[in-house]
Amino acid sequence: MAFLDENGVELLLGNEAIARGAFEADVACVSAYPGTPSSEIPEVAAKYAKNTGVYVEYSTNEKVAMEVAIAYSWSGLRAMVTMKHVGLNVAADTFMSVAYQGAVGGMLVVSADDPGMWSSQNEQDNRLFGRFAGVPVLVPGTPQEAKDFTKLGFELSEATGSLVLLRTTTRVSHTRAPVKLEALGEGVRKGETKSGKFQSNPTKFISLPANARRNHPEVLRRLNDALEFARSRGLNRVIGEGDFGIITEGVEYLYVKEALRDLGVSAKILKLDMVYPLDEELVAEFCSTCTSVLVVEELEPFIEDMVKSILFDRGLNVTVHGKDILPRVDELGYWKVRNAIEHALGLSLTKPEVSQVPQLPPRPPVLCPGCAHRNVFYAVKKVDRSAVKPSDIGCYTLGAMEPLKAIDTCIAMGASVGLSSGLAKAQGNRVVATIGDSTFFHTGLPALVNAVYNKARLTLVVLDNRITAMTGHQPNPSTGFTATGEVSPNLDIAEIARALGADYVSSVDPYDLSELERALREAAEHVVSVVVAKQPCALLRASLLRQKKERIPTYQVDAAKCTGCRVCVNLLGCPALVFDREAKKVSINEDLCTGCSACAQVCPYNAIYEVLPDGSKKFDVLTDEVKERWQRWYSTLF
Amino acid sequence: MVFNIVLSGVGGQGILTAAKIIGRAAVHEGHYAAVGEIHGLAQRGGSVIGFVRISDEEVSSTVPEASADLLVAFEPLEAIRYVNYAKKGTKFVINTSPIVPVSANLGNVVYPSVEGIREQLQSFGPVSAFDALEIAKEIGNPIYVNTIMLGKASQLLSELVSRDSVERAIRESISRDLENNMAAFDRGYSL
Ligand SMILES: Cc1ncc(C[n+]2csc(CCOP(=O)(O)OP(=O)(O)O)c2C)c(N)n1
Repeated sequence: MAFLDENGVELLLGNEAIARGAFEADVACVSAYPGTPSSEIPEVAAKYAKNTGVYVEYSTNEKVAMEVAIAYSWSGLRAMVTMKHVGLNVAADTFMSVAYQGAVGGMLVVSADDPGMWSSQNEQDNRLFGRFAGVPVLVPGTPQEAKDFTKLGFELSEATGSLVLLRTTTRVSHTRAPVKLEALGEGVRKGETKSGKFQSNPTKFISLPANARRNHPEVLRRLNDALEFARSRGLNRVIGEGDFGIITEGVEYLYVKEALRDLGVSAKILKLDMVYPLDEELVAEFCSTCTSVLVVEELEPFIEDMVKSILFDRGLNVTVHGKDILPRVDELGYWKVRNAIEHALGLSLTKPEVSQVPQLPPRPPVLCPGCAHRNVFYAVKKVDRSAVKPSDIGCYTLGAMEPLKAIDTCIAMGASVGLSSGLAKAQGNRVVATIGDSTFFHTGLPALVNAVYNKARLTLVVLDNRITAMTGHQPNPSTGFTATGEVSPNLDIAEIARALGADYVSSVDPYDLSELERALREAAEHVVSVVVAKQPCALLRASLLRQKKERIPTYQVDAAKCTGCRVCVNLLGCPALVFDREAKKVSINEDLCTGCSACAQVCPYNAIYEVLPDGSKKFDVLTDEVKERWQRWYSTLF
Repeated sequence: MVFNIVLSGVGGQGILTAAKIIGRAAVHEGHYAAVGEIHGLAQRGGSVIGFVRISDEEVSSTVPEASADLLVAFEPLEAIRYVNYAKKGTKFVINTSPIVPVSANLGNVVYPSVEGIREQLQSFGPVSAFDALEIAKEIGNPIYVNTIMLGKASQLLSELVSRDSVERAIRESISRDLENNMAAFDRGYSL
């Protein structure tokens, strides 16, 4: 169990290093709602929860996760809550209030930002959230710093009484690099479960206006204390010599170092570890010895604006470059930073000889072979082409891709349901929305109550694959166990919808296309209808079946019967279907097929058959026996 | 010294596992290694790219464009898709077995010729191209494509990272079915 060793060097992912840092800091609780690029933090913490006594939970959304962590902090224990950047929007209401109220036990809020939007709907810069809330912000640039700053963050939180925001980015969270392991926390080493005590303190814990007025100045006091802490702990270092200054942070520092090395020029670098509150004296002193300064930071001119205002206040006349020569969108990289340094120094810009990538068939992410989401999109389009079709965030957002093109909108988690409520009114027509199980529990629930309450003509299809698939298969309330594998109630979405007052509720197996179509047609006859499509994630199901050494059925195309009409390909777009342009025949890649039979069900020529264990062909694919098999896949997934 | 490796392929082929193994092996060898991974959407059968940078000092994990020393492509289309990382002298290791993307089944989009891809890459540097899927199936399962590719890549890296270090990293990273994976690694190494 190398991860829990107490010395040596391990190649750790930035996110693993954060979990490790929390273990070294003797954390009591890690709560999270998953989201790329943050998800490995709770995953690793959960994996070692039993050995370390740390309480790890997946909460239903980020706001709840924040509240769970605060409960530990207010019980005098160390707590960490992790999320992707947009998760902090969901948690913001609680975060902004608790920023006034403060921490008791050290409390770290980890926000994994995603400059470049590798897997996100925006690239908001959550350093701004720290400033907005009045919470110190630490920015690591390597896995080693990710671990170190996690530990420092808990100390900073306890030294000041503030929450601390640890802001990583994709390039830190998802970089693997050597990390030095140090001693684990006492309790973690012993595997002791910690228990705390909440001590009443109404002025602090009850956010009535009179108390909030007293707590607001506390926010400013804590920020001042944070500066003292940073100075005493040697955060924010000056590296190198010269009258050209570079102020930078995080992973950008590495781009700066490499560019300076290759250019063979020297510069004096101020590497900020705590970017908020900014140490004004340090910045003023640094800049006063430079003739010009370049601020290298991804996204917003967060540091740059503060630096300029510090110089203005002190009447210091130093040229400051930043977003005038560096982009404000997308992530930075070696070439962008090198060119900015060249620009600032008046050198000619080196343009790399980058070869042009020819026009190629695109390979965007697609719904996996056997994914039941595909069947739902097929059926929804078939049953009602004209309805507006809002969808949500999850694997099913890929329903937007060719050839399905079965969704009209995607905003943010849970937004499909609220949007549908409004669209049903604004259009005066039925709306057909799709949402995943995890997203339904995250923020879909209150919006469904709204639709029932306000009588919106809505069919909501819940794609219940029993898991949070998109972010790497984390359990959720539909799964039946918790983050650490404890058996827990397996909430039935259909029952919930009934209890909430939906007019029509039906659970169907989306592998059975005719059943699915029937349910969707019936749903259209009622005001608020909820259709729960229950079929586990095909990727997960196939890998679990393989583990259990159970046979996965596969399907094949009878070349003599295939006319090359491409109906299967054009309606489903399954990656296991391959069209041979010369032979004008479709075939099925047996390595990819996971046996859903959707292609066999839509083939107009009945040319697709199940390959039985004895090698014989079964063209009648939709039998009771097969349906039972699918049911079993759902009910005995784990 | 910085040695830049780009690994590319299709989600599900185990590109990130291979990247991690090379990174671990480099650390065993006493180098600094930074492995860059992009998770999330990339898993869903999409195009995937991973980086390994081996160095004497701390470096970022992103390989700058036009600076790959070695490009290992688990699928031919995904080799040419990342030609923007190639420079004069880049070495290539390519699995010639195509995985046709959904887009090339629809309409008129055509999958390019594998021979053509190989020729284009040869204008940069030496190309080792072979059908790793066929070898993997001989060993018994398509999943061994991963360790076969790793084997060939390791052979090209042997001046920087010893075979022993890579084998040790494989043993640390792959728990199941080690014997066949080692056999696959050996097949790749001997190509
Ligand atoms: C506020 C917020 N938190 C987290 C995420 C990351 N995220 C993207 S999709 C997804 C979950 C999708 O799960 P589910 O709805 O069950 O659909 P599936 O992927 O399983 O089809 C999450 C957590 C996000 N985009 N926004």
